[in-house]
Amino acid sequence: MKAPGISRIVLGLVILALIALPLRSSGYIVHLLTLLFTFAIMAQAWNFIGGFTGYTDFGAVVFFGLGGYATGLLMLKTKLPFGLAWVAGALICLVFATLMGLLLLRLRGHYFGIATLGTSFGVREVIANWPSLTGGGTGISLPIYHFPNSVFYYIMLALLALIIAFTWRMSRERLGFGLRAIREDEQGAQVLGVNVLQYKVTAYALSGLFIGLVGGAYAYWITFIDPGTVFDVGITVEIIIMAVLGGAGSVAGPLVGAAILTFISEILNAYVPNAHLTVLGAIIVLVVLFIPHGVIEYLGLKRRLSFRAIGATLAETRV
Amino acid sequence: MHYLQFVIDGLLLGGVYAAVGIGFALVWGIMNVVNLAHGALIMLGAYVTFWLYRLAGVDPLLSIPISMAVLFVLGWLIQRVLINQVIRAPLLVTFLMTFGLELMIVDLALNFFSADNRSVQSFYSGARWEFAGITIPQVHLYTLLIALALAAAMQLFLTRTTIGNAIQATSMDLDAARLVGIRIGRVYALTFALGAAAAGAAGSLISLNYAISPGAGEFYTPIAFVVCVLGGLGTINGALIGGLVFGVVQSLSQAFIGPAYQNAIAFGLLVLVLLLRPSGILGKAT
Amino acid sequence: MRTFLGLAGFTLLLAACGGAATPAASSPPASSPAASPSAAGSAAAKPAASAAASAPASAKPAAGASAPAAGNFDGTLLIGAPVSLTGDNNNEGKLTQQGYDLWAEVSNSKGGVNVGGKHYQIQLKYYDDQSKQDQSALITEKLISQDHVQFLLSPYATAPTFAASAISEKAKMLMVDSNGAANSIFDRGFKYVFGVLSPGTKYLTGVEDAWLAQDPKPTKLAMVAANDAFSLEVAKAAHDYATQKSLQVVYDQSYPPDTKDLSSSLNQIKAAGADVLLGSGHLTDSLLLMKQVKSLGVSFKGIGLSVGPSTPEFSNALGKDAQGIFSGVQWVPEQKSTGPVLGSAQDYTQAFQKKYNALPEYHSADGAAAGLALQLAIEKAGTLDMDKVRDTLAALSVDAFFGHIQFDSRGLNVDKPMVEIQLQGADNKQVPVWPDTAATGKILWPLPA
Repeated sequence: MKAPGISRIVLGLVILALIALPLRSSGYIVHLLTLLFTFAIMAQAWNFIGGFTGYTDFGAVVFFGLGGYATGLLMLKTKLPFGLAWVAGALICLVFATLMGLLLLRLRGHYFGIATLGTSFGVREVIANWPSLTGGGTGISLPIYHFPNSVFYYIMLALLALIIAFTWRMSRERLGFGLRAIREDEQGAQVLGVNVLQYKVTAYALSGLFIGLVGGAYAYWITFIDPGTVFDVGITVEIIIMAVLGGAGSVAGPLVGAAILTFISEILNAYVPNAHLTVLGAIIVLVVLFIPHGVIEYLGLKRRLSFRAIGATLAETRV
Repeated sequence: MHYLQFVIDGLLLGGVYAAVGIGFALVWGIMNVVNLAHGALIMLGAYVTFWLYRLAGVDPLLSIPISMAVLFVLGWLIQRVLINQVIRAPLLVTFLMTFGLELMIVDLALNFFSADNRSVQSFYSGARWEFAGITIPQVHLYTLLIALALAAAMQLFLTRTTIGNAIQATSMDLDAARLVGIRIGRVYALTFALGAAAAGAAGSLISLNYAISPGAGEFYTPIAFVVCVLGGLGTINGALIGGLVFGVVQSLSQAFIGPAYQNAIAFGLLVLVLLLRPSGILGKAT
Repeated sequence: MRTFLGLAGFTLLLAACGGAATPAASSPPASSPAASPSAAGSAAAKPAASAAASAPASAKPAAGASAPAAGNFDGTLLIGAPVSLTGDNNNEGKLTQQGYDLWAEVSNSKGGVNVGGKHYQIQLKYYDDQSKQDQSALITEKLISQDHVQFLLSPYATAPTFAASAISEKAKMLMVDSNGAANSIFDRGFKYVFGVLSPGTKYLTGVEDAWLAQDPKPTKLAMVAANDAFSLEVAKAAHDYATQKSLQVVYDQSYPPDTKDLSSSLNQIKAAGADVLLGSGHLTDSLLLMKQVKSLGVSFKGIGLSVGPSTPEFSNALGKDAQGIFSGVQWVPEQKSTGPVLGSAQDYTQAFQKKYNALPEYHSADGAAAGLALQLAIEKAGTLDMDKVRDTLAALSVDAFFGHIQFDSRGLNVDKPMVEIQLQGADNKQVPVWPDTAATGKILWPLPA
């Protein structure tokens, strides 16, 4: 890096701006950013197992729903305050993720993906059909909070900062290198002495923990959850898209992807409400054509958006 | 109660699932492309059938070759123009691209076709066969038969024709295939086009059994996933078996435990199969 | 690192600009482009549509100035609503929006909303919630804090209304619910949510009443319900009512909302000897149920569905197989109700046909009724003060084209009865058959085998 001092100052200013934002901005912006942070954290969490380790997880939303339901049910049935229920819910997700990981991470590639997808559907169905415990298909209504919405903004902001800092640290330490080694050549890594299963399960459990934390906070924020909404496979797809758009396997790629996708969606919804999905789809297709490896890598490579550069990129990936 | 009835119900239901899986299996198995737009293509096939029925009174079953042809052309174009550009990039890149495509196709359909639910009818729509206390609705039976025929035709094409062999060769070893002079670009275009055509056929069958709307296809993409893996990744017969098994499991669960649990049990079974036999029912053990 | 910071800064800038832009554009507000060009709300239909079309060229969204309506207005009343223009509920969302727009248009043509002598023009602002509850919540927040709407109308369906009303309640802004019928929305002790529609518990009990008055009486009831809040509520109420009336329930199961097959259930129902069937779900599963009833050859004396028969698509899809089906509806064009602004049910029907070239059904009527209730409360309160309007609305008791509008302590219009219709005749006309006060035709009973 050329001027680390300046970078740190800019980073500090950005963080200060984000902290001060709710005081100066409308409720809408706060709400939008909170939603953005929610998805960014999940995309970052997915990145542990999907980006760094190379195991595409198609069932990530299961922790979102579990975190939400665990938090909500603990609050409703045992009258725990939010803070405790939230942490307990996240721990439940951690345990569940560890168990799932031990079971499913023996599968490779596509099979792991499908197994996680099947599990997320299965868990959704179990929750949807256990009315005495979970309220069944009707969903549950969480106790209403009596503090300003911006509290959730700060919760999500803090989680986001935490996960990015964590990812940054991890990528420079053993775990990060181990995961990337697994992604590049799992058997090779194993031969070199990397405890492959332990690393994979760690990555998966961490992703489950963070997504569970997000799910619990989200449930309390939105006040009402039902199985169809919080176990929606569309959420998994969305966070994968965000991670890949920004750059899977990079430190902050998922955040970048989340920001781009969220803001473009909002802008399109305002300008072309009748066709915003068409335009969004077209933008995504174009982005993939020109920057297939994600925005972060594209910026890192400092390639210019000239026809020749695009042609060179395409030449690498077309047949 | 006739247990046989429930199994038959399941097979009939499985016919739709199998039809949905066949095109997906082809594209995934040969090109290693996870086509998130598969459901959208199915939906388009259904609409081809619907508009032919509405505007020209064409019988839905007879419209299948047409919807297959239309989707074939569309699939060819999509592959040549878009997917081919990123075919050798990691899997998630094509995933992202097909996601964008899916958004576009569904939204365009919504704008042009409107959100209304559509339905097609035929003279055999309510008809059924009954014997020995078993009821078989004709429409479901035709769906199953066509799904079987589709699978058989695809399989024969892949194994008995030169082009089919070229496709298989490409999936096995890309460089070797290129060395023997196979035009990879053409092969991929053909494969994707065939997959789209199969999706079109599936869509036509679906329009006969259920009401359709622009969002109707979305449901089938995860199903295609599941069905393919259950039966054995990447093979046509695998998709067929996977679809039938999935249908039977759902039907039996519905019958003996209740309709509420059919999905829980079916997906639970899927995970179990993956743990015990990851390559799927028909797949070779790795 | 630097690139990341650059992006972070850029996105913040974008957010700030996005935040700054819209408030400026919201005065005077233009009605947002609706799902179809024909559904633009205010009298300024054409200018609003072309303003929206040229919006991308200008920097501000939806910044076209609204052409003033024919009359002179003393101000504008900006009302916002999330609507499902895309996603699973886009059909019903569009219908709800049509109701809102029609009310605004008719009301504006009669001088708008009269607040203590001043006439306010109704302006409606919509965003698409994509049938997703988190979008509904975000949009509600946007309407409140960005577009500065003065009042809110609900999105379509229970889950989005749940989420949207949580936001409106926190902001202490009134939201009138048109189409979220689940009781649970109103069990949260909210003060600022009111629903004009009959609650879910009433959807099928009227059908059971109608059946039990027939000869031969049905003896065995089978029920299926989709596994979602609204459908389960409807089914439970119907089940309890049947038991209360000594109608034996021989089958009662719920199915996953996206199920593709109900044949096992139907075969079991056949084996159990049920002679009447109630289905509580949504349009696609109602269609599936009917198709499979026919293809499996299960016959009933009567079939009732909570959702489906009142939509034209149901008839189009099933043809003569739809004949004789019962359904509970919130409103029918033939009912003998009348009231202010929109006149009688027949007047409303005519206005709807003129504007949209189609017969109205109840989802749009719900929407118009919600707008109407809001208007009447504001006019009666004589002010735009939120709490005064809220209290007036809570105490409101008025007859309208929609029927009687009055709210219980939770905010639900509990006393409004559902009208039960039966599809009759070759064109599947929706004939109100129950209760007697609304019936225009006799019940066909039993269904031909």
